[in-house]
Amino acid sequence: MAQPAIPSPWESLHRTRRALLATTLALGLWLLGLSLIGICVVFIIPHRTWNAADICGVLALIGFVISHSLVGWKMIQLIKAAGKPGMETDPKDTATAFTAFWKTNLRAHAILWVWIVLLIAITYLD
Amino acid sequence: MSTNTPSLQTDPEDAAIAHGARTSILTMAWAGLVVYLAILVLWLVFVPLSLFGAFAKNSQPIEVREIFSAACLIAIFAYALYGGWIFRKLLLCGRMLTPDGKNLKEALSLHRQFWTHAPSLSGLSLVIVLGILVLVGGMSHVPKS
Repeated sequence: MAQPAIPSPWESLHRTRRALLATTLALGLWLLGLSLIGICVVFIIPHRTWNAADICGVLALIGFVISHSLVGWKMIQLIKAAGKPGMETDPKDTATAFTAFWKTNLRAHAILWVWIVLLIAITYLD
Repeated sequence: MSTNTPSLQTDPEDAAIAHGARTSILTMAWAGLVVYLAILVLWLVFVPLSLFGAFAKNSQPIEVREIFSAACLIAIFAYALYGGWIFRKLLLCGRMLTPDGKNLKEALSLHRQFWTHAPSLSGLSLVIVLGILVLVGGMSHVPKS
């Protein structure tokens, strides 16, 4: 059986839109849930004396929400650049949005990994 | 202005812009592969140890058997393999992003395959993280005899 032809790069990106949209929605729900948890922990639930790990945890949560909101924003820009069905798109815009999304995504994950390592270190070395 | 319908040639300038994502994609792909490989190695070390009773000497065999039931073990093994398989696609995608854009078609096709599976992997990760949190929370509330 013959292999199906690989579509053009921008057509492939256009076909990725649905998965990117699903991921953006899931990310939005994650961020909403985490923000609510953060608000509950900081303002609603009575808390014992704050230690370094607690403060680090709250800062990590804020960092995660802000950096991943930026990822979500870049993802929306990429979805827009990939175009609606039949809509004309500029490959230059699509390529720029693609690169911008991946750079922001890496930075956001780097912040997340640094915070996770810090949190584990503080929790276990305290 | 061109359309998003298939075209035979890719503009070298567009390919050069897309090439800017190469380092980020490769870093993310390697990080993902290392994480899933670590899960797989931990699994391969932990399972034989627990099955052959190495943990019995540490007086924790019951908890270990309770937490890591057979179904849970198979699920974690499958999850690690699935994650590795998906991130391998991202790694290949990153490698194909060359400045001349010769393999841009293949790269973005792999990118699409990665994103087709990424939301389900993300959902599975969430379920596993929540499961671990529930288990850890439950264990910390068990009264010590």
